[in-house]
Amino acid sequence: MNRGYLVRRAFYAFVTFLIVLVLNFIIPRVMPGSPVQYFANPKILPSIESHLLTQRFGLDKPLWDQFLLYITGVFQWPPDLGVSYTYYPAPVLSVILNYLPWTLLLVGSATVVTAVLGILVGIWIGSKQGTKTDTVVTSVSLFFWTMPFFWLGAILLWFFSIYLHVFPAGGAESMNLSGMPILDQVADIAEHAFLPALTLTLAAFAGYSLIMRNTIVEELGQDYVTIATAKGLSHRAVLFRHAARNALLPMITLIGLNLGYVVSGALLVEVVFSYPGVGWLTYQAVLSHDYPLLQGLFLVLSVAVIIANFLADVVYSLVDPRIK
Amino acid sequence: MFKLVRLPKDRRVLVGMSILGFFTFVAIFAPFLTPYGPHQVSGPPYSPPSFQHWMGTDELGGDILSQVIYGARISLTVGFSVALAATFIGSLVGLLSGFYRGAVDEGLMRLTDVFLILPSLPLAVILAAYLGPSVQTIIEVLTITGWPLVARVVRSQTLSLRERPFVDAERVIGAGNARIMFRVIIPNLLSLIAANAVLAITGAVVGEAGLDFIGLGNPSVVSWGTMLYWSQNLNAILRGAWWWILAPGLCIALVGLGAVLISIGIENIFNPRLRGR
Amino acid sequence: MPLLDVRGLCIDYKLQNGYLRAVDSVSFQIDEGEVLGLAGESGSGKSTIAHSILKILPRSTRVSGSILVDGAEVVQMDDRATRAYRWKVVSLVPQGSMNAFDPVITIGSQIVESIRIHSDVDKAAAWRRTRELFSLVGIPESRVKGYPHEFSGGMKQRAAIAMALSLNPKLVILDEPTTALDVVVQRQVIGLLVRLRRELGISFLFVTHDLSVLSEIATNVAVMYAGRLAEISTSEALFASPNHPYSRALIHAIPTLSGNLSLVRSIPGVPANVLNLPPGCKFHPRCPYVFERCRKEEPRLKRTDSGSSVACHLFDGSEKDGGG
Repeated sequence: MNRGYLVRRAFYAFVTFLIVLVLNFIIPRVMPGSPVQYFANPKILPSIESHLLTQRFGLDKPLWDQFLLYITGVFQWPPDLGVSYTYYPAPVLSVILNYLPWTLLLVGSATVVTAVLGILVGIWIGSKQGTKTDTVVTSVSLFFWTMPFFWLGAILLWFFSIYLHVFPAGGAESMNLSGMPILDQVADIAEHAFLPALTLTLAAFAGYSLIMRNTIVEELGQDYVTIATAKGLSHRAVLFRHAARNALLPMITLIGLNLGYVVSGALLVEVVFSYPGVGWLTYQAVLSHDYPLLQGLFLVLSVAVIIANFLADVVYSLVDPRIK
Repeated sequence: MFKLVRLPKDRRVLVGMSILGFFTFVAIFAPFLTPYGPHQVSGPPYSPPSFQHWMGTDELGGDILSQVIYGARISLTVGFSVALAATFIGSLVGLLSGFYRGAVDEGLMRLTDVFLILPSLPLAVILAAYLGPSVQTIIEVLTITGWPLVARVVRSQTLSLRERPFVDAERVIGAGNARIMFRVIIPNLLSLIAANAVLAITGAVVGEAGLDFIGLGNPSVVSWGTMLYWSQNLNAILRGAWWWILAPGLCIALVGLGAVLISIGIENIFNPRLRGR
Repeated sequence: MPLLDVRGLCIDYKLQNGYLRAVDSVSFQIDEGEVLGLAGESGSGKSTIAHSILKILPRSTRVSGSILVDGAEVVQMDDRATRAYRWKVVSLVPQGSMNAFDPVITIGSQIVESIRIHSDVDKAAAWRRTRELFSLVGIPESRVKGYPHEFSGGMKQRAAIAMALSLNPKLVILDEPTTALDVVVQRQVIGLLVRLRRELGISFLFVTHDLSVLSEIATNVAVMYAGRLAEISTSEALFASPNHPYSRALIHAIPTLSGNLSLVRSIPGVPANVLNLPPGCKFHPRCPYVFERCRKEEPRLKRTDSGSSVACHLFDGSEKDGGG
């Protein structure tokens, strides 16, 4: 653990957060149309509310004043991100927080499985570089990786749910969930989450396995591997005790970096499976032009990913002895 | 650069180029290849693949095969345009950043990193939501979310090229920055840029589909992405109309795969280490 | 019986389109307590020979001929026997000791690892031995739990030597041990090696392109060119009166600190390109004494009256075959 490194990474995360805040603020304001029209549209909201919102966020004031009010809104507790049109009068943040847990479940479980699967496959393939197995598995991984997440989800949904009736056709839980015993509840949730998670895993694991493979190949070419072999270690021992340990380090950072990609994929997969997470929420928001909600979603998701990346940095600093 | 002539010798590249070539051909000659027009109603709705309709029909009775063929035009246009634009901007930023370093580099890279960390879809969503649903919006938005990755990669390579002895040699004979950049750095970057540009096609085609799917495209335009949007909106799966989803998605996946194969081929020519013992 | 007896060793590397002969019919011996210097330019095949003794060449490489270590034939040894043999009888200090150690594991642990692969000693005993080895090579025992990046270049070199000695081998192969070090550290390392040989009676196979280093430590010197032996003789004989034109050029290329200032003569021409070797003697394009026979017929290693063996038509008067 090294304090200097962590402080730098924390600072960096904070700067990124600030940039996101500014972006979030600027984008609607450089687009055609006025902030009032987007965030406090009197045609959608009752005129009192429209007026109040305009006041609160200074939507008709000069840019700098607006920015200050916006920042004040964000840095209070609970942060004020405006009011949603579709879920009026609920504030944007509470709407998002309602749907966020399902997405966290989906993305969380998928990330874990994807990383583990990707790393193991990558090690396996890396040690078999150049062979037929390598070519076949790499091609299959590539194929899964290049296809759109959500299309794969749709195919799986059709096949396993509609055709085979093995899994539920959508949603995150059954209607009568609260009436069921705890174990059944867990099973029910797992059942609903299985196909979406599987989709994410299949589509994303190749990202890890291919990079892990290349990293392993590079490590296997290093002198210390030659020496480890010369010392009399078996091929397996060299692979796992030495090469894989070194190759794992960049994987940790990669998991953080890939998170944005996985989250984006998850959003679309949720739509396919009618899974009530923030992706599904985004879909609804787009269809109903709920700009406040869309802005809020961008901010919340970005913050989540920034935090996750910072955590990855923390883990990395614990594991790599060279961090000074 | 002339090493690229070796490309077609790699079997994977051959496959990739055939795939892309095939779809491009289909897109260009669409009107001559389709049995029906893209908006033409020609059969009963939701019918499975049959002799008259090789890929079945949609909710109105329109032929899906024809839609897929016409859809290739939009999807490939978006794919190629975004790939070109994003790679161009990204390469420019990466080159300038890596070559001049200093404050310029720091600033540009901070910005680039922010874009790289953030989930691209939410960002694309808010950009596109304001710009209005159209193919042009999608091209613009995908370019904006796509250039940072190329910038990072090109900058890396520029940094390492900068330190090579032949750059010092140029300086010793009095070459200025412009000459070094054009005569030495850029030629050595071309393979990397080419590989990335081709790879970007994959991301662009998939991205177009994603943005359409979530409702940000123009639903009245026929593209692979909007076909998926309609199939989702009209619950094609629940009605069992798997053909509606399979066809456009498969095309996207194939184009993506083709691009990736070519990209790997380009990389392998210039980085023999990954080729295998 | 010699400790190491190499006879007619031929090594072919597998390339994309066929095999490349890197080593051609090389024979030499090392007796117990002796140091053989294996000298030559990059690409002369010396590292390849060194690696072949421990069987750590790429799997696709073809090795023919005979390598007898303590009477046991190594070339045909199966995998299990090879793993048992490695490091116990013969060990290696690799080229670029910068990378000899796994960067994420402490150096001490890696030495302990080499001990515990081959014997059943418990951890405590292994660590004790490791500490002994450290003091043997002159590194403070307190550094035993240090990571490779915390060691200086010279210390890492010593640590690599310590690891090579961990199982009391009879022969240690040193592959360019002084190349990456400055002259001061070079001197210390050579001094260490001389001391080790004296105290422990170990034999060394010292691979290098720097002949001047060999003059201090080698009993015998074998000079290689383009994968073939040009000359083998005792160290004194070689430095006093080298026979082969290549050896002569090498010796005369070494600048002297004392004595008459004479022009340092480099060898004209370019090093042999192993992919495109000339017919006849491989050195003939650069040889100042070349005559017709050299261009057509490859000279065989033959013993001269003075006891050296030379592969050169200039010395082709004797009947006996050299090299053994």
